[in-house]
Amino acid sequence: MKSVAIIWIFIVFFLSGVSWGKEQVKTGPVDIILEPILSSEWACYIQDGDLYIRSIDNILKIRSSKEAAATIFSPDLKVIGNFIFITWIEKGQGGNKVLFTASHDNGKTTKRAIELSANTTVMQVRLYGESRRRLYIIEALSGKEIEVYVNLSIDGGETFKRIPLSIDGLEFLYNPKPVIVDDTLYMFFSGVVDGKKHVGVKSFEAPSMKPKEYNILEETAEVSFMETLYVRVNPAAIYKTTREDKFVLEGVVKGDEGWEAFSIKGAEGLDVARMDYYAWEDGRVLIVFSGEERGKFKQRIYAAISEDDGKNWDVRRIDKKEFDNTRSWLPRLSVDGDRVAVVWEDSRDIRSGIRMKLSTDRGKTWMERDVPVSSGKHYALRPMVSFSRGALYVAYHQFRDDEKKVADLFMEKLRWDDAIKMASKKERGISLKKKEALLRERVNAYWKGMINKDLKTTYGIHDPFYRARIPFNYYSSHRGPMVYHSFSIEDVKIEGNVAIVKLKVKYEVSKLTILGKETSIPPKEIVAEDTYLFIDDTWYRKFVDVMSGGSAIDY
Amino acid sequence: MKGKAVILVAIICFVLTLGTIPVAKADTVLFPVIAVNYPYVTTIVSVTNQGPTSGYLKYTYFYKPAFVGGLPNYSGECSIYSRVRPTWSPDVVSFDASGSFNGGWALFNDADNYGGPFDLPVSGAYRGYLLVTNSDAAGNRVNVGSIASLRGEAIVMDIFAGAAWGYRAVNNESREDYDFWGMAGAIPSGSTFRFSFFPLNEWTTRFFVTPVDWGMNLLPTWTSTIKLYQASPVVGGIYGRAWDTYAFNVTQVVRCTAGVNLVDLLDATAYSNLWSTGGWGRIGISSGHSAYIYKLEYVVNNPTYGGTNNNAYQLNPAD
Repeated sequence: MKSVAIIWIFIVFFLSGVSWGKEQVKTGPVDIILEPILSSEWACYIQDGDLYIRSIDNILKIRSSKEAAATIFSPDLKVIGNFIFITWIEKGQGGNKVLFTASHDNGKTTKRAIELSANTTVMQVRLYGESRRRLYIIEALSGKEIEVYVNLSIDGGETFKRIPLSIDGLEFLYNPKPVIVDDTLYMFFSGVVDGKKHVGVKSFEAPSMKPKEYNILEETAEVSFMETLYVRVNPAAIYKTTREDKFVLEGVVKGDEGWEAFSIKGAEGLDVARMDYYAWEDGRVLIVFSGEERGKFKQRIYAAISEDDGKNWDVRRIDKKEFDNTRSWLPRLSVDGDRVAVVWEDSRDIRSGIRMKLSTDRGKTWMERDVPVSSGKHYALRPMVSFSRGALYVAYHQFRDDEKKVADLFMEKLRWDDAIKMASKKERGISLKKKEALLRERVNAYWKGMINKDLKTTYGIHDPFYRARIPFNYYSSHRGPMVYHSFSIEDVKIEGNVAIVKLKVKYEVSKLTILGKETSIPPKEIVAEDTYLFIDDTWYRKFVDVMSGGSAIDY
Repeated sequence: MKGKAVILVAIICFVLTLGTIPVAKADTVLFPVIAVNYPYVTTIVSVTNQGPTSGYLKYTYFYKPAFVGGLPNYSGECSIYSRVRPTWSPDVVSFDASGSFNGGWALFNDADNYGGPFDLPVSGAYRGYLLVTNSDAAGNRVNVGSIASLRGEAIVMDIFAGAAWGYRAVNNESREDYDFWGMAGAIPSGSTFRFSFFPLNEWTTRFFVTPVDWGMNLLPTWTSTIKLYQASPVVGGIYGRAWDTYAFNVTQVVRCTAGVNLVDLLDATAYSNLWSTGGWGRIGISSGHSAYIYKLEYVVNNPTYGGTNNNAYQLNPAD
């Protein structure tokens, strides 16, 4: 009896998704335009137009779009202890409204929503919490019609004061990003004055929001993104721009002598898609970012550390991809003491998945393995990571099938020790020799199928993303006019899960009608180049449209 | 096709007409986009000649591989290949520039004997432009004193998937030579044109760009640098669909001709954010020569849009 009970406990434990100490829940379908928002153990998302937050155990509907008679967008979430703060915009008749609500008991109950502003044109709100008492909600409209407001609460979101932040003389304003240090709010931005682009900062005294200083910090080209932080007690910003047509990551930090500019040398020339950061109290700054050099390598993951206020950066690539012909990008990081977890979207297995890298020493060293977080059976994207109460939380979107139309929000909870165990495991692999033999087998099967008009075989060898879009009946009834006679494999080149196969193919078009007239192409031999993708342990021929170069999968 | 019976009447009419209205000569036509990838992608070119005629037309291709080392070939140099074929007035000839159909000889049961094919004899994916001008048998350009002797049309076709788009050839109606500088349809350097685009994860958006100059018969040394801008061309970048703005400074230099992918004009930050939405902005020539620009949108085998579709239009400097 005892052993049966143990087996039952094991089965229940296994079926509930708890393996490696991992708990997983999913919700959906969700709006994939909105990337998962994760703070502590809570995620925020939009489903069927309605706004929700959820943890592993609970789901709370925050706002119904039907009740609001409006479209809900640009939500933000901040969790401080048991306090959950949420803000969002509603777009309905008569302009946009900015709303806010909170839960003071870790999601058991929520307060009535407060309208922070109405009839506004702002299109983005962001929530910043200095403590559970003092909250800042920044409303912004970037571009030429500049509007920036701060909604300040000093009573934990019970009441707010809305104050316009005027930044004089700007023709255009982009990337307004605040950082709050003691009783000063520093609003960094990129902007245009007299046709010249620059990065600037304007500071305000909190909580009065009385303007203090206004500084043009650096003349730049266009600024793609900006992140703000504080280094020790000094406000700082890191941004992406170009110098002499080369992408660069630069920054500014307030020092004893005033504002000091710096450049992250190891990132020069990299087209950085996104960066995330963390600053420890002793001034150590860790940033992670993904970058590529067009024509040389696709996006890969980097970490950079500075311990001297940005003067010097130790830049290191941290992903362990064998080849750079696939994309690893959009990293996010979270820190708990010395523990660091970085998650990103990774296409090394062609079907994008979520990978994670761990460090136990504040990014000084990294665990060897890029741990796969998502299952690999479905296309997963846009991960977020956070620590809460000693556990690691990862949220991401995952498409339901390879057609990539409908996605769910996945949330996973991992114990740190189990995450470390996963990082120590070896990746399962297949030898290159076996991979090449399998490739030749599949190429032969495909072209024999083309010669014998065995469309079931040729359809089955097309990549799963193409097949998810195109049913067999459509495929078989839309064959081109070519009649194939023979083929020979001339060369194969395998790099990771991508192979280029060169072939000689003999074909003819015996009958073709163009513009109402019949014509033909006599038998000819051509050299063709096909791409094969290693997915789910076998090779598939990538469908490539000859006119546009488009395909059903991007990696 | 010939209409010898009407030639004399036509010539007399032309002579009489030339005496009464200002002369605008045009007997070199420019086909700004020739795309071939034998045997899958073809460009069917049609040239009409309503006379007067010099008896021959010279077909000059300026062409280059669409890709070099697996990457799009935007700034690579072109090569020249030309053929001289007889013509009559009036006449129409249609041919496949890839040579897939009828070996590049005249198509559609044309009864005339042109003495050879018209195609560009290359293998693989190539892009180019084509000049067709009145010439003598040796290929020397000949002034025929016409206001409109030549016109042309082209259809770029994917014969495998069945998609196609077309355009009308360009005429300089003030000259007979190879000068296409300052033409009304070309986007001038320094100007921008508003456009929209669909989600990048489903649609391919591409700009076919052919910079123009005074002497298009020479191998192009001139270039056009293209760039995306926000609503105001002061700031490089693009917009999403929710008033989300992206500022970046990405340029592509085009020499001779190229099909520039929209994604190669975005930075990685904008690309990652606009992946599933698309957006809008402006495209312009930030420096260099004016250019003919066609915007193409393709979707391949996507049942949401009824299968494979493509669409193209010429960007107009009038915005």
